[in-house]
Amino acid sequence: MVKKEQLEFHNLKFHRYFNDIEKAAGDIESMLKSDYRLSKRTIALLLLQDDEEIKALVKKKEKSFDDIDSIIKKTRESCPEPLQYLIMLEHQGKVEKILREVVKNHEKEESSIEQWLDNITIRPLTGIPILLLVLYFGLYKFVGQFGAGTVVDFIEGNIFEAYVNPWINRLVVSLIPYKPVQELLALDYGIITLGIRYAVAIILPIVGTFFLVFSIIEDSGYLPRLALLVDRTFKVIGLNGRAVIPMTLGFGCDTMATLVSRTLETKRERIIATLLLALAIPCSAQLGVILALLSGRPYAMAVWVGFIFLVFLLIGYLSAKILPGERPDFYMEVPPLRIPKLNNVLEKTFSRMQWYFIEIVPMFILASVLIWFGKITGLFDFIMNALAPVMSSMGLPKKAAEAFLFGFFRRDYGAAGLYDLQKSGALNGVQMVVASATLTLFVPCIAQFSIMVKERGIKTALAIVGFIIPFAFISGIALNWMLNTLGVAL
Amino acid sequence: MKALDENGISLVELEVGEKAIIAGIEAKDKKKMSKLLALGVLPGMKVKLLQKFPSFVFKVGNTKIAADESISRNIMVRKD
Repeated sequence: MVKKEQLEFHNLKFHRYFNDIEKAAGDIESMLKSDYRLSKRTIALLLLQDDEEIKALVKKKEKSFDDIDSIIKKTRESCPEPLQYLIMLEHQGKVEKILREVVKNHEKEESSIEQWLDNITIRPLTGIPILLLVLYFGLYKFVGQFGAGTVVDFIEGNIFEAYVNPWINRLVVSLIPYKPVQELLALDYGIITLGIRYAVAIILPIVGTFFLVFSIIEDSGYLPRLALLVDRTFKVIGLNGRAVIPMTLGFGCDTMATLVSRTLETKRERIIATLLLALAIPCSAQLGVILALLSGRPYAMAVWVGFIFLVFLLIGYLSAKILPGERPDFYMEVPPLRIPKLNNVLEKTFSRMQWYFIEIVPMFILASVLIWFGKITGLFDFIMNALAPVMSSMGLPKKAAEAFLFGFFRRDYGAAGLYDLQKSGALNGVQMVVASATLTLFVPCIAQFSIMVKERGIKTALAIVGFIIPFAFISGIALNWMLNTLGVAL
Repeated sequence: MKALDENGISLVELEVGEKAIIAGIEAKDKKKMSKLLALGVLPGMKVKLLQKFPSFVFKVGNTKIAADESISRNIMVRKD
């Protein structure tokens, strides 16, 4: 036993546990015949503490597993408390003893400013207004107006539309004589002129500004405070406060948020989070376009926000009722508030943007190809005609079907399609709200769907989408009916 | 759970601002217990209850912890 020799060399000894546990550990140790990367003593102690992973491993490797298991059971019965608890207590005692010898403790009180900030962020009365301020300045002002407005206008208008697109179009048309291939690469729906342009000019500034804000909020230690504020509300929808992290991230990119929802503890929570992300959380790209669409109509915006929030709560509540499983627990360490370090913030923002580019841009290209395919084969015209009655029952023009169809390829393609319709004056306030709300609820984009399949399995992913499509249209019809019956003009 | 001495009450019964010593962890639910152990909530440590609503917030040693009632209820404390 190399490890024992090393310990003896340093004049250290293994901690000896109290009798029953020590004896059981010794017995189990001598019964372990296979090679584990950890010492046999460690394996024995982990077995006594009910470590599921180690148990499965030993069961596979040892013929005498049943005998080992009966030792564990006997020891468990002979002890007054769970073994894990007892072992932990002994560890703590040992740690305390060492600490007493080597550490001096100075009681340090927090400064009054720290304490004050700390208090106002976790008390509901002050915490909720602070949350609204964070959302207003961080999300609406910085991401919505600066990222999705100023930066997008500059890159899109001054760079792509002024220089890149005309140049690419001329080049492609002059080099390639076939119209279908020209359309695949350039012109209205080409890989470069639509796919790459969207990725670089529209999505990147929006997602980039969002990730920057998110990293600042994350590093300041604010998120756990948000989690404890919303825990009670989130319990109603079958989640717990911890889920604010994937949910908030969803406002940046639902695809990334779906990936992050794997950190939630139970399968039930992961399914609910995936459903709500796909249904009711608009990603920053979509949010940017919808905010632009509804800006200047504050009542329309309020109806949209209220309706989506209501759907979020209602569907969360119902799925929590329907899906079996226990109530999730909420527990979290609350770190002190800190001023974020610029370097760390930039590094995180950059690596998230990098991930986004590598994972999502290929999807954009795929989307361009699929749109091209749908156009030249006439498949889209067919689907659009089929959707016409649904559109009219929502009080929308037939052309709006295009927005929904493209929404599947990129959530924001859809919203951008509405934007064009609005500019041409084809939509009134009620129609805009109904279209925005339905589009927000409508299917996740291809990228998100593929992550849903990867993370939750094909059955769950299909079930979620199968629910969302009819639900989005029915909600749209209901909202249109409601607004018209009430005679609201927005 | 072993019988606690007379002063043993649950953390959730403390008043906001009150200090106590952790006497033990109610061990009925093994999962909840291991969560608390993982956070470093252990017998003998000082605890101060900071807030009860919307979630419980308490300080153990130098760590501030937020938890819901079903978790916090398992922490048994002894007033000094």
